[in-house]
Amino acid sequence: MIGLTYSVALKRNQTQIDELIQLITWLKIDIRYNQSQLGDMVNRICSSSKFNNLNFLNNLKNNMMDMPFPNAWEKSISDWNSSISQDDKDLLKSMSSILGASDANGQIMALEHVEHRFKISLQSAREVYNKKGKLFRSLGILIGLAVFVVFM
Amino acid sequence: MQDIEFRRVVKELPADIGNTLLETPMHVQVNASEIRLRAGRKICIFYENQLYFLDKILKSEEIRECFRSLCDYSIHSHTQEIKQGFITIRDGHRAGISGTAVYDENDNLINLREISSINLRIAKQIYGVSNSLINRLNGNIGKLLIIGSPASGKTTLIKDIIRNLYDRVISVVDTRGEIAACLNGIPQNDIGNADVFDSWNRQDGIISAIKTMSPEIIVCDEIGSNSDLKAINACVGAGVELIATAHGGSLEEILKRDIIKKILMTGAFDNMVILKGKSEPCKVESIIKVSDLFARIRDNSFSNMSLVDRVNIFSSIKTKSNSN
Repeated sequence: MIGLTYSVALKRNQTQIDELIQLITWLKIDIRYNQSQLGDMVNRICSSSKFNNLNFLNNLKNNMMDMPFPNAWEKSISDWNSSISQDDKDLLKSMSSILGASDANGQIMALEHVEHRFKISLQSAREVYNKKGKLFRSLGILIGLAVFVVFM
Repeated sequence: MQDIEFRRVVKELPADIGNTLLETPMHVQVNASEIRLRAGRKICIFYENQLYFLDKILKSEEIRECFRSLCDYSIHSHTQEIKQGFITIRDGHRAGISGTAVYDENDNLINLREISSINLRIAKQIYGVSNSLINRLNGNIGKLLIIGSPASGKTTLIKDIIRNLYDRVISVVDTRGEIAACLNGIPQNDIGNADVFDSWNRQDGIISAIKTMSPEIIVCDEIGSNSDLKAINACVGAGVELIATAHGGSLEEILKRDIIKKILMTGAFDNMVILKGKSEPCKVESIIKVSDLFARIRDNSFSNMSLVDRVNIFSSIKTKSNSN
């Protein structure tokens, strides 16, 4: 069970980073072509089924009713119980000073930098999953069998 | 209720500054027409031709935060407005901004940085404010140019005219979102049955309205650029009436602008309404028939204008007469 849990966590980390990259792509398109307000963008993102693993978005929508966007973004990420690393969380938090803070081109350039760093994280998450995921599952099964044999 | 309007505007600001503003005495809130926020200076509220100062002195960072908050933390959605020096906020209110201009290599204004002052203008909807004007014009309200200085009530008047024309097919080209103040496509101001071309530039909006909405009347705000002339000519050519506003303190002032003279020459307007000014918003100073104006210029009765201006106007009329 423990091995399987670790393996699932690694997979979830990979999925969440993948969805974060998709989110950045969505934001870039919305900023460049629709020039939407952040509030409208967040509403649309929350109603999409593409980001089911990014639970912080719903908190963001609620937080935005009580506080300015940058604070709402940072709080929702701090409160997010995710599988991504602290470095990735900090990177995600840094988007609070990018989104809505300049013209479309300025934001897109900054978002592309963040996207690039998430792509590197995704690559490394995939490698970790390929290496350790199988190991955790195998170890889990072996230890489970061993425990079964001992108690038999 | 004006006090609600004040509070609605204040809600668009960061909470701490908004709370400070809510300490303003109620009679000032009720009658406020402008809130001026300036870096390094006290907050100032303009009401009933008086100024009320709050003790709070704003820091540069606070002005910047106000600016971001007024943009709804979405500066990219307001870049065109910022370049023109304002931001339209909810309910049709407007924030004028001043700061350091940023130009690109081709000398085009691309941004404002270091925002130093914000002037929040509280938009009003006054029902019935245009009734007496419509009566004075015997209902011939189409082909009307309303002239007034800033804050003289041009937009307030034009909004009420639109409401009064509920039985006509009207398209509003709302370049700066001040007339209809659309939010998610829904006008925040009561503009009767008019179709709204929100955030279009005037030329594109007018031409598109003629092509797509078959309007009897097109309404737009603050004409006066060269690009407007082509669109106004299109209106005249299509038989669509135009109701518009233009900046100007007096008839003499407005006739000094070549582009306004050219616009009047198109025949798009039958009447010009001059408003009294900021001290008496929406009040009419005079109504001038454009045809009478031309006759007066021909008769050389414009004694208080320079000879150059008279000759200039007269020659342009002669040119039009000859071409006809």
